[in-house]
Order: sequence, then structure tokens, then C-alpha cells
Amino acid sequence: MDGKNEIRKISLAGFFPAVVAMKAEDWRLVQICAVTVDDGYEMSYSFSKGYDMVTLRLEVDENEEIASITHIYPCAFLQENEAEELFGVKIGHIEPDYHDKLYRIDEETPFKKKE
Amino acid sequence: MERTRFFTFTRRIIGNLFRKPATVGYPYEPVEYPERMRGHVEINIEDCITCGLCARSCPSQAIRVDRKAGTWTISRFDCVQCGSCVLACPKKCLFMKKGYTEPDVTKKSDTYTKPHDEEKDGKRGEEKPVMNVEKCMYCTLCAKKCPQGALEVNRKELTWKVDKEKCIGCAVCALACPKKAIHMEKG
Amino acid sequence: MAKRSIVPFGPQHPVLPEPVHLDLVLEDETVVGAIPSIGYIHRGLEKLVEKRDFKQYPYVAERICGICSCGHGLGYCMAVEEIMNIQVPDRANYLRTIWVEMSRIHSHLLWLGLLADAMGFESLFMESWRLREKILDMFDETTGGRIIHSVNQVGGVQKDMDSTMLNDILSAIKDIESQLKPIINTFLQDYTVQSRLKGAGVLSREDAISLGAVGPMLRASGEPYDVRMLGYGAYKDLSVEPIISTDCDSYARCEVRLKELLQSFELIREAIGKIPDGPISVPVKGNPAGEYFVRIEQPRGEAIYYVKANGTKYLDRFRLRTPTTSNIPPMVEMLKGCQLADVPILILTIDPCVSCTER
Repeated sequence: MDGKNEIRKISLAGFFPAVVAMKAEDWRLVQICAVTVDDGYEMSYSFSKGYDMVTLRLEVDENEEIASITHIYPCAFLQENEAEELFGVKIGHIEPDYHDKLYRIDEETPFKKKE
Repeated sequence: MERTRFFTFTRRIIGNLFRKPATVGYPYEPVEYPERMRGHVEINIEDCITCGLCARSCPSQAIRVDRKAGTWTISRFDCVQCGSCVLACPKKCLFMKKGYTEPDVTKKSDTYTKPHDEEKDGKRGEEKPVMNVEKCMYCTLCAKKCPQGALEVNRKELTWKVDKEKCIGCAVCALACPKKAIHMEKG
Repeated sequence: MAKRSIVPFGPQHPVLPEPVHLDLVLEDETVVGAIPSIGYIHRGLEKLVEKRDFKQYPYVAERICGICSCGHGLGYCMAVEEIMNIQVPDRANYLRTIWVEMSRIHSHLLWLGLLADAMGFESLFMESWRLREKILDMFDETTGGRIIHSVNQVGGVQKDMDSTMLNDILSAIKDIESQLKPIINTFLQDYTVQSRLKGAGVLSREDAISLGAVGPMLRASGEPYDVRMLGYGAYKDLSVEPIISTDCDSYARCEVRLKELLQSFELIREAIGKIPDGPISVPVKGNPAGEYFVRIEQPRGEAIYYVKANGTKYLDRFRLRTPTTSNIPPMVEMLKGCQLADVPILILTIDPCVSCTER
């Protein structure tokens, strides 16, 4: 059988309501990925139900703050802490927040600049 | 629901008292390695043309090639035995042989020097590419593949030039040409 | 009012196989909460993709983890092949599937041994690993390495297996299957094993889905989700069924993994019977541009590979979401209410692989 695999673009304002809508329809959160692009970050939030997978694509600037989704999906805390520590994405109110001590690395946000 | 039994493993344990051990007493007993085992890298240094493609393809940068001195050095403890250099060599002079590198107290590396052959000296890498004008399409693939950047191909002006100083005669351009328009010639 | 104390658990512990640290909040002997902490073996391998040619990177990707190494190389190569629209020949798909199923057998035998060791049953641990040696010898004979295989490349596989090797694999599997009977009987029917595993670490079906569990943890709670049903590789021609159990405790997870082991034997026999002749790889021209998500079923669960390419020979981003990252939140939930002595067993039932989680 084939599973659906699509990427949907979403704006920062519509992001939180879209995640709440996903939870209401019983989609599981699968991964959170951050990529550094020229003037900011590109976040991908992937959800899965049955064998389909839908990714919400969010583009933010360096200083924009994204709301954490740990209050809706508590399992997101590890991946959000990782994005904050390695990339420097600003995510507010993660529960629990490790305050950059998840990987305990010496350099700050090493993945932020491209080689 | 599975049923519950007692002493399920006893028969095997009592049998194990009389069986011979399942392990090999290495290093006191010799071990037979299979043929394909990726143990360490060896080179036929006479065939090597020091093109440096293996050094470029090594993911852990364990190989150093010196063109002027004619040496090929591999750092044995940096090599991860992946086999990438064996695939990349255009002259097929690298092999993976079985048997691991022995443990040691310092990181050692092995250097192989090309045999100093009086007749061949200065003649190695002498074969330079020659292009067949009828077949060439100026697709620039040969220029992209050249490890030394010795080829200049211009699509618009339909020119094809080889810098004989830079060229080392590795023949990767001849292998890469889709029309087989390049062959290697002396002089 | 009972007194609360905090006990640090790991990363150095005689029974814990992986370096994960937990701060356990205890009330007398019952665990009330747990805070996980990882980061002891972070190597930053995802950053290396910007400095290594995309054709050299499979060698790095498969060294992320020793147990799941065949799957990591396969997932990365599949993602790059989808971006570049390369059709891998059928024989390469079958060879890849045979190697991945052998990797699943070896991983489950390893896990069974570690579970027996955590319970204190050392002779069962030695027996499971003795059988695992036969699979490692088969890997050595066919690919060249016992743990790290280096057979996947973008466009196919590097080495072929002729019919003598395939027959060797079949006889090794027959050997293992016949010697596996006493081990299965002990795991499923022995009184001490049952009393340690039954009822420990219950995770209900709703909790497993909402907390994001994957792999055998999800299937042991009754949800039939197996990514092999998507039909990548040669799985579209083989008969794969998700194996589920409805008991939701540690005993059910042990049962699911044992049955998957037996299913893998059947899948390998079927694949070797149906393997077609043909080339084993196609040449790759040009550079990739685009992005793609690939999901495959590792022995531990569902792994997602994301590759983003920008047209040069260095990739923009490679991200690997491993099954253990998704299984840690349900594990923390499962630990609430258990006894302190059960903590190592519950951590082991999620089959942790922390070197994949931290990359």
C-alpha cells in the first residue's frame, strides 16, 4: 500500500491553531526538524496517522519566537530542546526546558552557521 | 496466555557442562577469516599513478599522496576499512585484504614508495589525452572529472585544451567521455 | 506522608546497556517520576554532511550506530535516490531486503540476551548471543564486515551474492531456527521470567499513541503499525503482516519481538526464493536538488530520514529521527508507579539505542 507524504506551508500566525486541529483529528507527532537557511530557520513538524504523513513547514527569522507544542503533544520536548540547543531557534515555554544542557556541548549553537 | 513451567532450561545447562566451548581461543588458536573480509588496505605500488583520487574519496582522510616524492601513505589507525578508495582508484591497484591491523601503543602509518625506475622515470604519466574532433560534443564532462583541473572545454567556442604540465595521465577523462572520443597517447 | 528522595540512575550502571541518565524521584521504593537526560555520546554527525561528498556520506551514516547500521545506510541512500529519481534495479532491492532482515534477526537476538542479563539469567544471555554469532559470521562472509557492512551505495549495492552464498545463508538460518526452540520456551513459559515480566510497565493503547511510541512498543499495545507495509525495497513482493499483542506489558513486548524473529526467517526464505537476476547498481550522474522524507522499519521501530539538497555535491541537511527518540517519553510515563528494582528491565523493553538518538 502507499502512504501519503506531503509538505504543507504554514505561517507563524496559523501554526498553533493548525497543530491543535491535528491533535483533534488524532494525528501523532512524529518529528521536528530545523534547517538553517539564509536569514532564519525552516522548521518542519511531521505528523502521521495510519500510513500517511503530513509535514507542516514553518519559516521563521532568527529572532522570532515560536510557541512550544509540549502542552498539546508532551512527547515533543526532546526534539524542541535539541533544535534550541543546536540551532538557536527561539522556542518559548518548553516543558521541561533543559536550558541548553541537553547535549552539554562546549560550543553554542554549532549547527547555526553553514560551513 | 502461555502456560507456566519450571526448570525449562535445565536440560540445556546440563548439556553445556559436557559440550566444548563455543568460542575460539584467539590469539592462541588461528582464526579463519572469510575471503571478502575488509581487514586492511593494500596497494600494488608499481601501478599507482599518484592521481590522488583515493585520498579525495576517503571519508576519514587517512590517505596522503605525494606526487613529487612518489609516495602513498595510509594512516592505519585512521582508516575505517570502508572500501571507498578501492572503488575510486582508476587503475585498480588498491585491494582490501583480510586480517586486521594489530593493536599498538602509538598510531602508526605505512608509506609505500614507487620503485625508482631509470627508464620509466619521467615517462610515467606520460600518456596524455588526445581528442577525436569528429566524436567530441563539448559536453565538458571530461573537464569536470579531471582531478588536476588540466582540461579546458568551452561549449560556445567549441575549443578543447589540455594543460600537459598539470596532466598526470590518470585517464579518468577517457573513462568519463560518453562518446569515447578521448584516447591516451604518448608524447 | 512518605519521604521523597531523588536517586540518580546511570549512565554507568552494571545492568544498563546504554548511557542514558535518569533522575528517579522515589517515595519509599516506588518510582513517582523520572527526568531523562542524554548527551554523553553526541558526535554531531549530521553536521558532517556539509563537508563530505553525498556519495561518500553512506559510510558515515552507517557508522552512526552499530546495531542498526544496515538500516541507516539504506535509508540515506533511498532518500537521495528518490530526490534524483533513480530507479534501483530489482536485484539490488532484494539484496538490500535480505541484509536488512538479517540485521533485524541479529538485533532481536542481542536484545533477548540483554533482557536475560538484566533479569540475572546469565546462561540464557550467553545462549542467545551464541546464536547471534552465526548471523555475524554470515555477514562477514557476504559483506566483509561483522557489524558495519558498507554495502549500500547511492544507486544500488556494491557487492553481489551468488547462489553459494545464498545457500549458506539458508543453512545458517535453518541451524539457528532449530536451536532457538529451548530459548523461546524459556522466555515465554518459565516461571521466573513470567513473574518478572508480566504486569510490569503497562502502557495502554491510548497512551502509546498519544505519547508517540513506535515499533514493537506500539505493536505490543495493540496498534497494528508496521512501516514495512508501505512496500519499499522488496517488501511489496513479500508477505509482511504486523505482529501485535494486546497485553500492553513487558511480557507482550518480549513476545512481539520473538515472533518478529520467526517472521524474519520466513521473509528471508521467501526473498531468496524469489530473487531475480540482473544488475546490482546503476550509475549516478549529476547532483541532487530537492528534499524528501523516507520512512523505514528499523528493528527498534520507525526511523525517518530527511535529506535536503541544493544542487552541489554537498548536501544542505540530513536529519535522522530514530525510534528511541520517540520512545523515551512513553518510557518516562511507564516508569511511574513501578518498583525501583524493575527500572532496568523497563528501560530495556523500549530497546534503547542511544548512539542513534544523539548522533
